[in-house]
Amino acid sequence: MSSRACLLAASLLLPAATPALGAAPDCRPARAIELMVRFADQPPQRALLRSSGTGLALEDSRGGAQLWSAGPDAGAFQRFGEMTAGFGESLFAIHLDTDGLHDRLYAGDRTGRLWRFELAAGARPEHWLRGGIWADLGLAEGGRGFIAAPDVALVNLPGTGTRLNVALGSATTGEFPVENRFYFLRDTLAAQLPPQLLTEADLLPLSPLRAPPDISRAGTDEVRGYYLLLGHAQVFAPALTLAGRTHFTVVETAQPLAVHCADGSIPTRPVALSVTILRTADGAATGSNGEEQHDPRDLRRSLPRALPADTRVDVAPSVTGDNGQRRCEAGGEPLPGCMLDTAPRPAGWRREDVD
Amino acid sequence: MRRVPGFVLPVVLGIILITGLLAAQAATDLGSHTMLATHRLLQQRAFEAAEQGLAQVRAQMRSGGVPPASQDLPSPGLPTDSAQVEFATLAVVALPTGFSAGRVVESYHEIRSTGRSARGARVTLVQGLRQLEAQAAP
Repeated sequence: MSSRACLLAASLLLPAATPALGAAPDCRPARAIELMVRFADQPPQRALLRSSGTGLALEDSRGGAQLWSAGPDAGAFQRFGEMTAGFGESLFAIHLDTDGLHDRLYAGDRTGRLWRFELAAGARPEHWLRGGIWADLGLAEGGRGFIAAPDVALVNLPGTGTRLNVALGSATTGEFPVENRFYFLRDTLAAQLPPQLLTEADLLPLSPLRAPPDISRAGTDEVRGYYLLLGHAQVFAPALTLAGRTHFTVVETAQPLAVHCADGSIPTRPVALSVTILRTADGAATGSNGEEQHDPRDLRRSLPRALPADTRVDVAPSVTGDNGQRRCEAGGEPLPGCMLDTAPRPAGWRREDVD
Repeated sequence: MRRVPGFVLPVVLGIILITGLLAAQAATDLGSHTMLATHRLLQQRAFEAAEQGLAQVRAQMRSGGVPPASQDLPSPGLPTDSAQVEFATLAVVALPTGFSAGRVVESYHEIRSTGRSARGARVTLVQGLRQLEAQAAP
């Protein structure tokens, strides 16, 4: 089905002005993410970070004791007045150095704001998180937000060097269908405090019907990112980037599934899904039929059966044959054009014996 | 009639002496060369055993397995030959370029394969490898 046809089908399923008031969709609790942290005068420890109300809470992974919290109220260890929407499981933390501790946290909230925090290892809990809203990509009237966790990958870009690519799709979080997006946002490895606010006006739109944006201007006026229009379709699962190509599932319904999932829980109702593959460097559509014969108008490849709305693209647990290739799948369905090459590659050889 | 001293005998004796010396030298050379050739053959067999050890571990990795830290791999058809192979992961890069952080890592491994053959012949080969690996889903 072409993307236009998908949009048409989505709009036929539910007129834009009509709220979906069907049976409450299935929901599951948001998962916590595991972090390695170190607070002042304490050894490094494993901890679980989870959404708590409209804020965040960090618990000891063994005993469950609360180590830290953030929220809009004065009772939290750290107060952020703008934390007024839940994060659910739209959380992702990365290591940027070799000390084994997580260094940066990205958190998307249900009003379409992406927060970026630097995690200050060794700081007291009152000063552990530094940062704030990095990208405001919601709608003024609300209803568009982030349910899926961000996907973060290191990319080398001509003219700009190494950047982090933060890939994240939006979903309808209000009662009415909204126009959703899939974003590629460029971030630096070095901390920028406070973050320079990013809005959709700073991004270039991607169109599968046109050539990818010219990135040659990146040397003088760096492109801060791209976005792909999804129509009323939504993204509930994190993307997967392999060999510079980003793969993600798109829920092909305009029904506002998330609005009935309270407290940041995640919709799991079986729905029609499609998969999109875009080149991470410039957002160009890439082959998804396994033979690199891709019609860019057919950007979203439908999966053959309904799957839970939070189905994500994963690497298959075992290799195919003996060549080290691991296929991708979504809900057990194999995905053509998506593969992880796990074959070992030579990195030096020497002879050590003495004759 | 005056007896004239002959020269044939000394010449023949000289020839026999020289021939004997040459034969002895040739025999010595032959022995040395045979020993050298055998040594080189066994070294080559040890080298092949070591290479075979590397290849077997690479094949284990290609089929999705994690090689044991140490294993003995006999050479098929040569009971005196085998390889002792050690496998170690030296480093893991959590943020490989072009791949999702937290879902794919790049590991750097070292295979040390010591091939052994008869008469103590032994060759050690060290192969460095890098490999992308999928992380288990949380």
